[in-house]
Amino acid sequence: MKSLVLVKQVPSADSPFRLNSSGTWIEEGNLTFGLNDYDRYALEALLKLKDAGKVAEVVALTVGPERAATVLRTCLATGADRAIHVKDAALEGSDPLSLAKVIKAAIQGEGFSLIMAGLQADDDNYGQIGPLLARLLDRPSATAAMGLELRDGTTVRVEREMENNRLLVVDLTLPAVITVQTGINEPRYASLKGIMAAKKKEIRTVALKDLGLDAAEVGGRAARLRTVRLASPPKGKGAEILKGPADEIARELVKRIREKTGVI
Amino acid sequence: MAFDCTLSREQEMVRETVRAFAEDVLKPRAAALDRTREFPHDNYRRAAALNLTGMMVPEAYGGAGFDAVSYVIAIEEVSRACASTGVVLSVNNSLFCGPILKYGSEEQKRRYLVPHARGERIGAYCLTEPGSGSDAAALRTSAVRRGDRYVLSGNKVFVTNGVAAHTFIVYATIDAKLRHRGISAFIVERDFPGLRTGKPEHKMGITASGSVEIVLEACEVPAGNLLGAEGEGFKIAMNTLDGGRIGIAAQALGIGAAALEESLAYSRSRQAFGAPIAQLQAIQWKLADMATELEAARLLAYRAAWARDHLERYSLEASMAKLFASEACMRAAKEGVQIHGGYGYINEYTVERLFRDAKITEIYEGTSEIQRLVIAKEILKGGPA
Ligand SMILES: Cc1cc2nc3c(=O)[nH]c(=O)nc-3n(C[C@H](O)[C@H](O)[C@H](O)COP(=O)(O)OP(=O)(O)OC[C@H]3O[C@@H](n4cnc5c(N)ncnc54)[C@H](O)[C@@H]3O)c2cc1C
Repeated sequence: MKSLVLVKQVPSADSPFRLNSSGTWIEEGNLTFGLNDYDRYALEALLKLKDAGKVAEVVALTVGPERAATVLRTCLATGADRAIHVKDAALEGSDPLSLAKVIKAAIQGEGFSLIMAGLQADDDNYGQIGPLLARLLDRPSATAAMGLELRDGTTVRVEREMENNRLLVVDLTLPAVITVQTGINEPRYASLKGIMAAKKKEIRTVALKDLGLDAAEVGGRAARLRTVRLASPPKGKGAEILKGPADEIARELVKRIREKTGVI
Repeated sequence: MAFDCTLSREQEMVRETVRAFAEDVLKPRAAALDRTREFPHDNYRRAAALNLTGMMVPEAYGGAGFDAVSYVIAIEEVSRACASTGVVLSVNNSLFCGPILKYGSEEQKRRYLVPHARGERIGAYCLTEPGSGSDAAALRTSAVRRGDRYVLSGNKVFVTNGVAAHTFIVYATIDAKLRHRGISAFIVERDFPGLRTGKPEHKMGITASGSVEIVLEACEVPAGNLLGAEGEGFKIAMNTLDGGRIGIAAQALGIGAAALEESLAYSRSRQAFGAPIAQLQAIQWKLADMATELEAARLLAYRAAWARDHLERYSLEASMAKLFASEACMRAAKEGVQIHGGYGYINEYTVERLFRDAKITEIYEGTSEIQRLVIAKEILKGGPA
């Protein structure tokens, strides 16, 4: 069984975030980048299936600029077998639907049975790529997976995270697209041997024209969703700072949490 | 080939993966390990999964087949989070796997190198004795040949990893009158009859590194476990330390980098006289010196590592790197505490541990005085004096 993991390079959380001059995104100059955290869990889910002999090949795919190749190499060093990098200047400013169309075109003929992605990307939080791709492929999808089990060659059982700590268990007929929640597993780290082995693994780079796509249909110019403004949320009202000795504060805090959430 | 300090893509990836591992796994446990003084078995096991236990050992012998610069990067990143784990790994890599790879027979490599490089076992290095440290050639532990075995008797102290190690490289003399020419190296398994461990040392810092006394009471070692030839031990010990010193330089870089990082964060948040202390020039100068010295030390360490990979001898480079990095580390830790004021003296603050951890880098694998001795000897060589 062939499997695919969709990955994205995102700014690291400890980067200095500054708005760009147009106020629509962050200044990219002084950022450091890494693999989207959710995607580490998606990759691990597939690597575990591969370790168990249930998946024969794990392929990583990203759509992104030149620098995004780094996250593909990280995936290869961690255990993915090969990678696909869709890279085209016309893709800058793409909306999620465009990206899903591009991904569909890039994997045509590959015959992936299981396609995984992170639930969302740490930077733009759209959470759309998985479901949109499933729709375009006319295949079932499940989001927020907290558990995953290949039943046989035709079905995958997914435990989906719901509100209030509940799980919804669903069976999907393969091929299927699944997005995963963090915490579904414990992602491994790239090993030194993995880094060495990755040198010999393939990263296939493709541009829009290789996919038979036109910048008028997909990419920045074709976007039907545009970012208007990126801003910090307004200062919250009703914030209260508890004062007094630590034990009293702690007691008051427990009381309020209990009243508000019933958790403890 | 000339020394080039731009890191390769693979070296960058080593930093990335080891830093993530160290931040996620090692750092949250470091304070508790410091307190409990327990040997970091789980850290070791998990480091083995990243191939950090036999980094420079070829893949054919269970290692990762990496270069020494990558090794420096990895030990720095590990030590930045947990200096005890840093030295535990450094000893297994440099002081145990190193000499077996270089001087071991094929049989010794298969039997000992492979499981230690894979991290299934832990190795230790026993040179120092109660009566001999810097003057290692004065060691008294004796080795007497009896048929197909050697019988070892003597005491080794301060053995890092000793509480947990499966295998020890023990330096003993076949005839103390021969001084360094009598010293021979032996591979000794923990359960060879006659080997026992003493009481763990109660140390100032790197408290989780399992230092212990090793007592050899007529310990029987098969003749096949002689490493190298009889009388070759001193050369093996010194050559091994050249490599080990690069590891300790890297450990020092990590401790120093952590001190700088803690100090940057603290000085940005601590208010005095109406502003963060980071705005005080007195504090800025400390931070600037720490950053500059650590960067210089890092380049010296990379150069020593490069020399190890490309040159026949690299004692000078290794000693310079170890000397400068350990002293830069100690200064960074000292100023780090100073920047934290009274809080730096309190156990809840990481710099307090870093200060205690830093000091050892100026002592083991050759004190700063011994490094200066090596450096002076090398640079005076060949001249009239
Ligand atoms: C935590 C810890 C872990 C250790 N781990 C190991 C280990 O795993 N294996 C191992 O074999 N050893 C280990 N050691 C031992 C360590 O390497 C020695 O302590 C060190 O080499 C110094 O030896 P010494 O303590 O006998 O000091 P000494 O040699 O007695 O030195 C005392 C002082 O005299 C100075 N001095 C000595 N000779 C000269 C000279 N010729 N010129 C100028 N100054 C000189 C020294 O620099 C020092 O300041 C460890 C030590 C510690 C504390």
